[in-house]
Amino acid sequence: MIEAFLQALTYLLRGDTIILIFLGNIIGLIFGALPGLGGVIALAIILPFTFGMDPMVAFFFLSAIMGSVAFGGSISAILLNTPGTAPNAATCLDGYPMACKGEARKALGISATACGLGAIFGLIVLVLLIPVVRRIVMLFGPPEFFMLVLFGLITVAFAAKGNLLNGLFAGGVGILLSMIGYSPVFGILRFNLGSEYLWDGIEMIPFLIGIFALSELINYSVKGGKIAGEEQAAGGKTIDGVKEVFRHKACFLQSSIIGVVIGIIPGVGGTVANFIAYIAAMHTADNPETFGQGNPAGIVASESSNDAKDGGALLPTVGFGIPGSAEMAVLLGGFILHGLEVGPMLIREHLDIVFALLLGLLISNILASSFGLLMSKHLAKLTHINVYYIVPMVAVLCFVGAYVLRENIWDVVLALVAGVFGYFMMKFGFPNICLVIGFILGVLAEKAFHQSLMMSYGSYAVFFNRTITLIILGLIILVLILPFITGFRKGRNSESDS
Amino acid sequence: MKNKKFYLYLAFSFVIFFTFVLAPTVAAGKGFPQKTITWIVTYPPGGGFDTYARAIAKHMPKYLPRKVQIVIKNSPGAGGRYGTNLLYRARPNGHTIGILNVPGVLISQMVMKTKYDMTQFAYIGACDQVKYCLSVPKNSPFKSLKDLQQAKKPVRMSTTGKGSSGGLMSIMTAEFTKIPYTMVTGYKGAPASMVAAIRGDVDAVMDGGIESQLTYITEGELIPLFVLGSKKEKYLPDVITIKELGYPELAPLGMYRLIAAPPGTPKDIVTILEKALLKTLDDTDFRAWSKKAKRSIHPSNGKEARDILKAQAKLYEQYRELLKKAVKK
Repeated sequence: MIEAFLQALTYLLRGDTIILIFLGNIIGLIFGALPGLGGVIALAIILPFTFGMDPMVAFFFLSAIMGSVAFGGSISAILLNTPGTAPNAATCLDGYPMACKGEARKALGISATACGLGAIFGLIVLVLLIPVVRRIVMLFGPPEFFMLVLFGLITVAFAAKGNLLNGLFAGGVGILLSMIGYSPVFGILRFNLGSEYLWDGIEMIPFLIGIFALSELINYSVKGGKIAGEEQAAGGKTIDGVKEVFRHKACFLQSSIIGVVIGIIPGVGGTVANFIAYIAAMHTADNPETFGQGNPAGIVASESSNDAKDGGALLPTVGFGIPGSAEMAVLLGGFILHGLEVGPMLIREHLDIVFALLLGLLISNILASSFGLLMSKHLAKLTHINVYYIVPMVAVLCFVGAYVLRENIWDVVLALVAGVFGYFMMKFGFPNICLVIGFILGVLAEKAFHQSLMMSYGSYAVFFNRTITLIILGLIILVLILPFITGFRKGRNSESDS
Repeated sequence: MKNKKFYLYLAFSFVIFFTFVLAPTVAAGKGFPQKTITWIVTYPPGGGFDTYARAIAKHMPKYLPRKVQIVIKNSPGAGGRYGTNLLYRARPNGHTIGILNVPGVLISQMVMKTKYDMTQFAYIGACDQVKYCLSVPKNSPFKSLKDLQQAKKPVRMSTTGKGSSGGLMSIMTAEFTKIPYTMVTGYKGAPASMVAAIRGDVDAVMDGGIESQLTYITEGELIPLFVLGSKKEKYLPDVITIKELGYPELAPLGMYRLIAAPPGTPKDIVTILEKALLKTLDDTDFRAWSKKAKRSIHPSNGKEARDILKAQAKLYEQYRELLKKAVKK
């Protein structure tokens, strides 16, 4: 193991490796920040350029791209309420309100620090778990998956906070929307109104761009003014943001762990990780009502889990040959194209390449975070420009992002429709986040549920006779009854209640 | 919305956007090719079709009369039909080609109405043929086809979807050899489907084909019980063939990676592409890659590709009703 690590390290002394790490870092930041683009497209575009390279150098380059995407995405999440990539969605929830309050610099500082530290955490866990990768991959099957997604769905109720009925309604609508399309479980097409466009269902990226970004842009077009509000001070201080992460150590650790665990499970996807971490943070905080209004812990939770998950996702990818995420699938393609056999033997025969990936991710993350910390002042200035200038530019970026995914103009139409829909949801008091959680998790839960039943010949016992499933189920029950217990206790301690 | 400048700005931005989206590529000079060639892959990046396309696209330009770039365009959706449609409707000037999944999109055409007609494409050739084997996990109680046929409970087979290549193979195999079976579907990608079997969640898997299952077979995670073929497989010389087991009808089953241009592409252009493809498949560097990556090469020219299509169509035509029934079940 040591030789492989040293082997990888020696590459860092080469000029071409260093240049490519920097280049990859920048590419990742840009693709991450531009809504709708993201890691998968960046990797797919860059892959052909790596053909002639030494595989080690190529993978330093590719992992450098992956390493900065998350932070890049958080920049637009914070400044524009548009998640640069889907897993940055939860960062909008507290990052954007902070920007509105004039604290954009602080928010960026939090994100940069949380991203960097979260990534380091994820990578450390990855290295520690490599010896037991097979065991871990074997642990998570459809029943476990279902329980986890169910847990995610429960969070809809918490995300609704105060607006329970509206929130649940929005969540339900989200779940229904997720069912549109061909169901591989049942082999039938559902709700697609006869159109082939909706065969695969509502495409997530354009939908999210619409619900988060375009709806907000519509809002601003109507309201006018600046993102940061007319009278606010110049963005807070970056260093305060860094300090916040250390102030919320427990939140950081908890979120990073959630991120890694969810990253390890192939298929759940990073989109889920940051929501679950966010809700968990909200739940364990002393002041849950402040979440969604600019609570630093919200950003800490979202971004540290987001970056930790990348380390987690590498585990099944290099350890077993199953991609932990869509980016990992492209990476696997990259392995094959460079003539490396993928599967359980990758770690044994090409441990140096694995270390190249790790080091690339690590260095790129640190670079991205440093960039964030240094440039936050300039980035934050965006929030002080009149929205009349911002709206058209960001709108175009959003439409480009929606289009570029499949070069299908209907995706742009979808984003537009989702934008209008999201705007009216906001106007009438339906929390968009509940809709989004329902949308992302709805059909996943259904699929996992039926897969589990197919496996067990229809027996529901499959959800109860496996250890991990029971553990998660226990957590769900705990999370559900906890408010009643604390509420009950509070009610006993004070005279009045309502 | 009182600001006139705002509207101006907005309109300007949209002009930029549409220019970007609709910008045509400018042709230069005469003859073929004149500009970058777009290669449509009907699946997301990272999978088998994508990998082959990228590997070929890397080495092919130098065999064209003018060394233009070949750029991969991933157009996934609707089980491969979206990209197939795109190729079908593209301008037949040779600057768009695609890699197609046969029998995948062929079966789609048989069981439902599609906007494309597989017989109309201008076939350039084929690069690979994927054969399948049925594998069980390490400690499976099933040790042979007979064991499966005599199973007391339906044999659970995992697949990404009943319409996928692996799913089709599973259905055809099980129905033909009368294995009592039930499909567990919905896995995201062949690797997930294979791992389901390794984990023991299901009893058998055919997804991925021999070429993707090989890595797990070598590690001992999956044990192949038989291969669908008439002669022994190169990398699985000890595994019995379905023909030897008495079901030669299943032997020709497999998945072919066909490369084609839109219907109506001029013959001379197709010939240029065909020659370039065949030279690429024989190229030293390309062959070196295929050996290292353990990806097989089965080169075919345009006519052979059309013959493959015809043979596959004939083969599955007999089972049309069975397929319709099984895919909808």
